[in-house]
Amino acid sequence: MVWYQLWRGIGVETEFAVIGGGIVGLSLAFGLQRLGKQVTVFDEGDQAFRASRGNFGLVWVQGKGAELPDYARWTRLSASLWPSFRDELEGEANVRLELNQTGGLDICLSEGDLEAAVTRLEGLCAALGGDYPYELLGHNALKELVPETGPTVAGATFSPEDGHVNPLYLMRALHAAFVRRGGTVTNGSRVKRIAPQSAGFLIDNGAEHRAHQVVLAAGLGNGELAPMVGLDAPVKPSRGQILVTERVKPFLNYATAHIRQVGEGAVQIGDSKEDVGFNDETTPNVAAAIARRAMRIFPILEHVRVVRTWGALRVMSPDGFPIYQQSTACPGASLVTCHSGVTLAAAHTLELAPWIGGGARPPYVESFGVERFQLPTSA
Amino acid sequence: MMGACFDCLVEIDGMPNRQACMVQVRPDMVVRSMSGARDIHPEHTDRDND
Repeated sequence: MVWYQLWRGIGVETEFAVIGGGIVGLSLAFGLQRLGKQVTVFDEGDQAFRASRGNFGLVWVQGKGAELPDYARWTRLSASLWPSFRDELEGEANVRLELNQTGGLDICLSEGDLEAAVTRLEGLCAALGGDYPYELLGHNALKELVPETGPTVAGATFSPEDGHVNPLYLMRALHAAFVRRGGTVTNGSRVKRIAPQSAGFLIDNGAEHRAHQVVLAAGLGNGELAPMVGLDAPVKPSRGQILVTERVKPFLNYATAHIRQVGEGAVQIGDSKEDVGFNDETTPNVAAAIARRAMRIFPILEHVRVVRTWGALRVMSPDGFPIYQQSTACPGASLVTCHSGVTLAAAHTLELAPWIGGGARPPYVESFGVERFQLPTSA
Repeated sequence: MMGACFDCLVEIDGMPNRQACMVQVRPDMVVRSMSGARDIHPEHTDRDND
């Protein structure tokens, strides 16, 4: 039994080692398995700053990539792949993901916010040659769509391509599908060292393992690991706090940028963007601000009790976009990091994993190399 | 682990989704079992749970 060997500290040999057992790592591991590769996932365990356990669960297109249109294209590709990805994963894992892609609302409290949102979407639409569906909803149109909308809300922008999913079920399904296909997940010990060998890599998580190829998908942990295999992962944490209410009957049929109702009925309310380092605690003042905004959007929430709050750390690159890089110094090592592991899960499994597995580079991915952060050398 | 699981939700004195394990019983308290999730609109709450 492989787990027994690991428990005894005896190393394994694997074709692909994926470092990181969150949604990004498991999406890639599952994608590699679909190509017939043999994969071991090295997961630090639940003591890690696990973004996959704290994120909001949006499958979101609207407004993304205004500064880098290939990010809009890559995001939309993933959103369009999500239904077939869902079908395959639900079938293999026998877990329902609660995917709902009926569209999403970016609800704006002020006219100024609404104008800024429209300007951003107009710019994206122009950059994508007019192929970018969205609608502007004034207060009355929004209220018609969601009668619970508050009287002081200016309006919303709507994208038919947005949606949401239960990210915990996504992670559970990926794990189940991966294990069912014969994959091994080791957790409870952090990978401290990766050493390139004459052939392949040595992976040290207390025991020494050997891998022909290695994929870094360790979120914030990639920062330390990347230089060991000739890569660079300039990622920093950005804290988000989320409130979760008691379960109520369905009232919100659309995902919104800050409020969504999950399949079981709880209302999930986000979020903050805080630069507080490696600290995922919650704070009353931020939670109160999140609650106040939510009650302006849907005043009916005033009567609904919050039962849980949590903080989690986003994995942010300097420009907020993913980093996809294959090492030239250490061939066989790849880096994958992003802060939208849910939205991009379908593309990571169906498009990015085949590239990591030795296939052709998928479209748009060339825009996400790490070299974009390297300063040009001055003369 | 009292208060952690939300499996004991009841309606107490007209207020739905209270955790029975977290509220001390007192004379004349009206406790009813929940059936399904509560309605978010307060005016519907009582009848919808009957």
